[in-house]
Amino acid sequence: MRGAFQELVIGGVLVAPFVAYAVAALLVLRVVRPFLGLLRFEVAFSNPPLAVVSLYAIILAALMLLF
Amino acid sequence: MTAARLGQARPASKVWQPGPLWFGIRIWIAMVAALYVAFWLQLENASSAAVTVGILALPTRGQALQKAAYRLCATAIGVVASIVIVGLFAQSRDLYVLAFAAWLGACVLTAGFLDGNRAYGAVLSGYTVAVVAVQQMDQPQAVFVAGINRGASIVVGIAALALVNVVSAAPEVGDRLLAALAVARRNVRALAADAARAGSADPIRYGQLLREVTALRADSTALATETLAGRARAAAARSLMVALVAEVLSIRTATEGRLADRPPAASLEGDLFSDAAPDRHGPPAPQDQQGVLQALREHDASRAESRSLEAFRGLEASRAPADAYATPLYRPQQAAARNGLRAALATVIASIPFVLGGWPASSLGLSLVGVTVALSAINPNPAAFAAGALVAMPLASACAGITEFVVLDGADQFALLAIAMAPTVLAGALMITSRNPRVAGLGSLLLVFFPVLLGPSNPQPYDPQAYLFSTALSITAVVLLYVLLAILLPTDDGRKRRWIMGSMRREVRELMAGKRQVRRPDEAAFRDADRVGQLAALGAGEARHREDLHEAMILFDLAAAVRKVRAAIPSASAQAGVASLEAARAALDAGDAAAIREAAAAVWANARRGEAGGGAAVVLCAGLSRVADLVDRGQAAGIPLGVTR
Repeated sequence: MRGAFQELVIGGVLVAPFVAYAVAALLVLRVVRPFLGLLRFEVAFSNPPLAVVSLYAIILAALMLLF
Repeated sequence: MTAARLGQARPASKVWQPGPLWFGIRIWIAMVAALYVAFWLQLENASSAAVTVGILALPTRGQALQKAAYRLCATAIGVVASIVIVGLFAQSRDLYVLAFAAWLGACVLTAGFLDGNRAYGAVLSGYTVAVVAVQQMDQPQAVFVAGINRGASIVVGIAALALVNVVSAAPEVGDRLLAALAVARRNVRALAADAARAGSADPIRYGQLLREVTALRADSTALATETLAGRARAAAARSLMVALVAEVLSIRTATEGRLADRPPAASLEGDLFSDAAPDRHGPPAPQDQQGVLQALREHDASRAESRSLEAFRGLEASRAPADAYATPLYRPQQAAARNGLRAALATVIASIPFVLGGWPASSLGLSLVGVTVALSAINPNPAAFAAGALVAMPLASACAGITEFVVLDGADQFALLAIAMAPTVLAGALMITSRNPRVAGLGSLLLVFFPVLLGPSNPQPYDPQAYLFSTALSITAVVLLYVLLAILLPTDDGRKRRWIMGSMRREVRELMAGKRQVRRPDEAAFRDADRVGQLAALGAGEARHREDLHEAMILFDLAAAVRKVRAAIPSASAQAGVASLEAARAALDAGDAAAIREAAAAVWANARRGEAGGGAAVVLCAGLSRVADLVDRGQAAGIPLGVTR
């Protein structure tokens, strides 16, 4: 499932793969946040911030698996 | 419920407070976790991760997240600035130091126009150059790597603290803000009840109340990132703060202009508001002008109370308001400029002994001067900050020395390091939660300086000479800071008072002269309230304080009244008549109370004659009467409004 990872190079500086995945996961979470609000995601959990962090971990793992 | 009980302020002990010991434990766990990860990743500047946790040690999750975001962005800006400065001036030490001083001064100047964590981000952009470029002054080729390592350590520190806060269900700033705004609202109602009974209230009380409301602005900015509904909550909080300021204004308008022989508003309401409300039709009721205007003012006060109640309920329900408001700040330009200039000059002057000493390690001292000068600039009382640093630095040095050479004494196990750091970290965190601002400030500095001076690394060098040098330079830096802040462009309360009063008078003159306003009236009133609140926070014991607050409240009322009149003129044009409107404009431009009253009478007469209803014209007449009353009161108080006759 996982394809060949393309090195991320910015101005000659090699960015660590994990950093690239982490930033991408953050951006995906940022895009998804408004929809989570509409779905009242926080109401379903006793610790909503922990649920959001868990969702971030899922997104990060998915990105690492898929790309 | 009686008015007295409604207005009774909630005791501070009932307002939500974080558990101090649990807060200390959270900070310790986060600091240890950050260090562990930094060691595991073999980061060169691992202690920065612990320092980051110390800097972000705030009681609520939202505040810590917001500060973390600004810390990250500001570090990136600072690293870029470091690379530019090193690239341009590495061959010339004099220009290197001057460029650093100029950049630091510019960042401190920028911070002077911001508040809360935004101001912190601005100064961090400045002192990041101190940490990255100045400490690498003798190795300019290492600046980039140092910057990257610092950034990585900061990210590790932020991630560790954020995770610990989330897992431990750290308190939310939204809950604290809601409780504080509930207290503020109760205090506004208590003020309304007292003012209604007495006909007026102490200007100091008004000033303190406005200070109480506007001081919550910084917390409201931290709401957006805290929860998924954060943006809505932040908008609701802003709307509530603006509504509370508008309510205070309406209370003053309703109570101070009241005539003793007038019946209460309720008995006029049936006659008045069927005709005089701006959105109704029909001629105004055949009643005298003063009675109608007083009833209108009390109706406005009632509407303001309803508006703030609705805004409060919106905040409770995390519901975004239909009409969102901004909460603009007031920051005196002179203070920002003085702070920036002071930071630059202090850096240049402090560099002289360090450069003349020719000691390679003195770059640490110069960078610490830059850091502490920048941090002092965002403190409301820089002199107090410097005095606190004079105590905190030796204390942190002692704690670091005891931890390293007595408790650890050569140990290389991470678990022992974690246990050895616990007493100082817990003590610092407990001090932060103290109600005494000096103790809280001392705790903040201890949590920051302790990991800097301990310098945990893997492996730990246990070098007494390096410890003594860093301690001596650090203490020298804070002594220099204290002396320089005392002699370089000090900003005392008297100067701040003059700036605030001068800006209020100037803006009122501009308003009356018809200068175009870029802000909405309620937002402009909030900014004025911020200004009055800052005045209220100055020199409470001085003799002039009550006098200045009395004048400030008159100017506050006058500015709001003039804005209301300027906004009402276009909508009243059909009812009030062109001639009377022109007369009103001219009277406002001249600031002539008698002419303004004549214009108000002309508007009233036209409104009574009008067949299409006089609602908007009555509102305009009320506004003009209020402006005339305030201009008279201002003249009586000796306020220079540029009144001509």
